[in-house]
Amino acid sequence: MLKLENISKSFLYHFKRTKVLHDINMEINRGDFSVILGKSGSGKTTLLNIIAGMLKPSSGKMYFENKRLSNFDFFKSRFRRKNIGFVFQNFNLIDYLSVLDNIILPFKFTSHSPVNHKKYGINILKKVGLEGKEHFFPAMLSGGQLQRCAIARALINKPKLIIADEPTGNLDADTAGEINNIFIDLNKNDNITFLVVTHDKNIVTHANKAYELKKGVLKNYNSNDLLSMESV
Amino acid sequence: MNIDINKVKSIILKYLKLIFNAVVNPVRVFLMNTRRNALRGLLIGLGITIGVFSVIIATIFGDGVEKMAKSNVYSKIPATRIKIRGKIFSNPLNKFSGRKVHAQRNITWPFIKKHILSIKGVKSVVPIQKVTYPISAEFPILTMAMKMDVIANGLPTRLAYKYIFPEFRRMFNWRFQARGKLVPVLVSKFIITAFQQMSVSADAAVSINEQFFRATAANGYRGFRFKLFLGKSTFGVNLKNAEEREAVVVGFTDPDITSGISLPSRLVTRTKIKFQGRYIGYTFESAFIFIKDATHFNSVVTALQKLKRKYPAHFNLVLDREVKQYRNVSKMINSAAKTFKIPVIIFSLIILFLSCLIVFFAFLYIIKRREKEIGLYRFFGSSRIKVIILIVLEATYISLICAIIGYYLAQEFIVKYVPKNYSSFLKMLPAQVKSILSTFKMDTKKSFMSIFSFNSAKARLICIYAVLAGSLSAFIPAVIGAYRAILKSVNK
Repeated sequence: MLKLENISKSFLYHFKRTKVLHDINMEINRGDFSVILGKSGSGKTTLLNIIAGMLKPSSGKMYFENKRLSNFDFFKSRFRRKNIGFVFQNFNLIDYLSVLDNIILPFKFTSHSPVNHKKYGINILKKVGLEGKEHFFPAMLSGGQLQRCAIARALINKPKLIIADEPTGNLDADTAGEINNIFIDLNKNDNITFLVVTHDKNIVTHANKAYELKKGVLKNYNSNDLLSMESV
Repeated sequence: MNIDINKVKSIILKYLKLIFNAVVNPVRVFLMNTRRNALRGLLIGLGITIGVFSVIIATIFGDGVEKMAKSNVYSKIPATRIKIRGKIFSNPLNKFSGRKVHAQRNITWPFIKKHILSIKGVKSVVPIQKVTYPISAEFPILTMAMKMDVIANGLPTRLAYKYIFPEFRRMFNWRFQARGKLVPVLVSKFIITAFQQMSVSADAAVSINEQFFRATAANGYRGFRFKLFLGKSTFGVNLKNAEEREAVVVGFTDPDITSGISLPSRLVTRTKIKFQGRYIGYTFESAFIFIKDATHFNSVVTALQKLKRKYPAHFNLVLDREVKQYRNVSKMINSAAKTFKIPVIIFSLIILFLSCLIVFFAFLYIIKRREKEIGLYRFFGSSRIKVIILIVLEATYISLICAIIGYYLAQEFIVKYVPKNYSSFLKMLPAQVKSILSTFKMDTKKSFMSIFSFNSAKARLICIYAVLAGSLSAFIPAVIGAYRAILKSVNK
């Protein structure tokens, strides 16, 4: 489904070129629940940003369902946005819009959207467990609810793949568990593929594919070995 | 060929939806933004409202002062008219033969209607016919008959009326007298002075002056009467159908109208048709162009000169000393009146610039605060152009509403507030302005309101300028916002 070929990334900083990602090869199949682990500064977020289209890789190729994803190409990136959902670590909700307005925001910029935006948005909110909160503002919600809202926004375009950048990084253990359960349910029931960067032990046990990033080099890990990892 | 109607319907619906989304969604987003940030919009709008209001008031006052100055100066210049003549072509062979053969091309009414009446500032055109065929008169002066050939002009009522003596004004209807036996005639002052000189040299008992030609007890209040021959010359030609008429002097004309006599225009047209044919009968040897007011004098003369360049064979422009003088005066006054306006224009430009600056900095600040939001828009598939349109549309929306509010505030101020509270309004004005008003006698409420009136067309134009300026000044901040990298703005 998603295939990365020799993706590498380097930044120019103070006239010095520092390489962050070294020739990353990765393949994710449909229905997978894959996890990327790694220390901070190992290049996890950079990799996710490249997949999401917010960063341009220095070299390498990317395929989604055997289609080449070119970087920063408007027409192709529209295809990417339709098929890939993104969940931020710091939620990135707009303060002065209500929950419902926030989650149907992607519809305002796409041509493929259902006629009744609001009804569709309320249905998605039910799925995430934010029923009856559609007219609340982000300031009125707790951290877990904010993250649910962000997940609902990622789900609104019916994506085939959802990328999550440390979705439980800012949350306590209980709410993190709830969020993880939502991910697992969506993966099992709706057959949505997940690619998650996380430190959470619980979600690692549910993953069927796991990788570790160490100084920009991606390595495969078996799920059995995950518990003994340093980063966990 | 079978066409599945449902399929066609679905395709049409699909494309309609696409167009609808592309057009309506940006509008939806900016409406959403303005609804949620009412206070921000209000603060920006306040600047634009005040700007539009003060610019409208300033331009109204500037126009008023200009109008006041012009009307004051132009009241001292007499009403003016410009004369045009038909073109006379002399035969180039005249040089060798010693004869004077010339052809005349007269002015026609369709030409006047098409080209001259459409010039801006022309009030009316009075065409004048001249009888070039023999007309002679027999004046009974100093107990003898003075026989002479005269040049006769046809004058319309409009022009003739003011020259007729007051005692004859009720007696003769200038227009319909042409068919009667008695012909009313206006005599040029030129002829009268000639008679005066004659009487001096002849050492006459009766002194000839202007009083001599008027209705006095000496002629039994019947006026000065003489014989008029149409188609008969004293010295030369006698035509077949020559007419003899009795004529009365009913007034004196200015020498610039004619050096001979003036008859009712109908009579002249009739005689011309009779002796010269239908074609020449309906054309005019000269015409007076009356100008609306002296402000237009210069522009009308230049327009006529331009017309002359275009149609060199159609007419000749008579630019005598008086016309040239008036033209220079009107040029001078127009340029002087403009200087009244310059400070007002500068003032309004400064205000417009300041309100643009307010919008510019406000949007620069807003975009810094909304960086994350704009980044999210771009992340969810909005193009850069869409983001720019979104922000510019927001500025346009705000400035449009505020311009309308400013327009109505200015209208209320000029139309309702000032007439109601005129005395308190005068107190508000600075002393210099008051002194100017008093010197032009514009102190009273009535005279003030007659000149400082609300010009809705101009105010609307100012509103359009303000909206354009408001939306343009949000353009640069919008570009700055749209061209920031998504990753940087989202993670802020």
